[in-house]
Amino acid sequence: MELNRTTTSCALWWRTEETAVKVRVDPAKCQAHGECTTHCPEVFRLDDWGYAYTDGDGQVPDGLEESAQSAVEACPEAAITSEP
Amino acid sequence: MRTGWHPSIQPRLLRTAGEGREDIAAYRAVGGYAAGLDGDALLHAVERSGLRGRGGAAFPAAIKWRAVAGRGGARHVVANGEEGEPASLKDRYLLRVRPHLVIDGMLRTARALGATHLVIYLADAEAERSARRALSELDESDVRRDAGIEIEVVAVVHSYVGGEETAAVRAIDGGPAKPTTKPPRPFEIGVRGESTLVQNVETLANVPFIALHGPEGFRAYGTERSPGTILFTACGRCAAPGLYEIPLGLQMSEVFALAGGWSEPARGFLMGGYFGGMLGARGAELPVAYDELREAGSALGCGAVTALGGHDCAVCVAAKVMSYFSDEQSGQCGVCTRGTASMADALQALAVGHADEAQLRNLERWSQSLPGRGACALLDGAATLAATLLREFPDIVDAHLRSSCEICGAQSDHHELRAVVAH
Repeated sequence: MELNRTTTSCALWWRTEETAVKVRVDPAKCQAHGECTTHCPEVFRLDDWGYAYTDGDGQVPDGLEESAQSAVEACPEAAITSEP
Repeated sequence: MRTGWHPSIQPRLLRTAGEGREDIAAYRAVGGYAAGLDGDALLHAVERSGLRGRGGAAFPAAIKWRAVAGRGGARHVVANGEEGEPASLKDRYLLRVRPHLVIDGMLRTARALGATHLVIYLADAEAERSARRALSELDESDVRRDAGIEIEVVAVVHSYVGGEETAAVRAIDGGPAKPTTKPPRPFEIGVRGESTLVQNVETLANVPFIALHGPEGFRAYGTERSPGTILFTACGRCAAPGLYEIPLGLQMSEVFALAGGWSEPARGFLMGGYFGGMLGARGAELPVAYDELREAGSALGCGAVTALGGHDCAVCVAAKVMSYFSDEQSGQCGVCTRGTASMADALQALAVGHADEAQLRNLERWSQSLPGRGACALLDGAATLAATLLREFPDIVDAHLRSSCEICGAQSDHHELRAVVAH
């Protein structure tokens, strides 16, 4: 039992570490170039005026880490940060 | 400025002994600067008192204190008296009339947090003169001041966003009084890049009472979740607009009874300065308390409420306040510049009876999608204004869609926005 519990929590920890990529658009830097949605339309959206935002807290779903990272790098204003 | 208090309380924040500005001798005569709970004991007392921030967010003061106390290095305390909300009077009252109450609160707070640099941040010219004079009086007195404690006054030109905590930090460091994107918050990176407590003037003005009377004494007034008294700014359609000290939890109609009663039957309210949006006539029966108003879909904010009467068209009021938000946004975030302008345009069109269903749907969508998008909360306040207008005054909105408002006429010809707002 003890061993099982340890295994489970390790697996959870590992998964959390792996998927905890979050992106954030700085609203004061975004100039509505829209590059982010070209690179990663699943994570970034544009509002009625072309400014970028993310749904919820900006957590990047599994498998989209790479395209989210290319969106971060493509932003001409360096308005997007990712963590960790 | 007219002041008064509810008969159920002994005022803690208003000056009751004497007229005009309270000098250091007068403040000491009512117990000011006396020894009380200090250091960690004060921090515990503030925690148990349940004191919440009076600037608008109602955030527990002790959590902010602990966040700063827990950081290494130099620490700063900022008394935020910029009072961005145009309908609010309380912070300038405290700084003009009771500057020593605020400074006493700052000194006690600074000792509890280990801060050595204190700033009184404000915009009102008379408040500035009063605060500077108070610091001179303090220098000439024998009031205990720990070695190395430095207090300064920083004055800025009044603006809506200037009272935001990151704007305060930026202005104190010599920059523009405009907000920055968070995180980091001032407790992480504040004045001079170091940990800073930015606390509203009225919040700090409650600290001496807690130090001298303990958390139970503080809780003698107010409710479990909203303990203590507040300085309530009553404006709009009441016989005696002014500043009233009330126990939290009092019904809105009782508060306005203090302010001379309604000058015409209340049709609704503009809440929390402007930040809490609009509330229908049901607001008269609600308690003036943080969580209860939030649960009712409104907000107490900094405790300024404008009563709207039978001649105040809610759509016109919303259009005028939205234009104010649009004028006051700092131009830093594109979404806020464009979002407030678009909402102001839509409300203006609605006010003069020119809006169509599509514009109304846009307004509704923006009111839901824009909160949280800006670097500061101005856009949240603007979105709340639109959302609460649509929710609380559907009949008046509908009348404006049909260009047939009984209150204002909703005619584009000769139409003037008749709005009982402060700016």
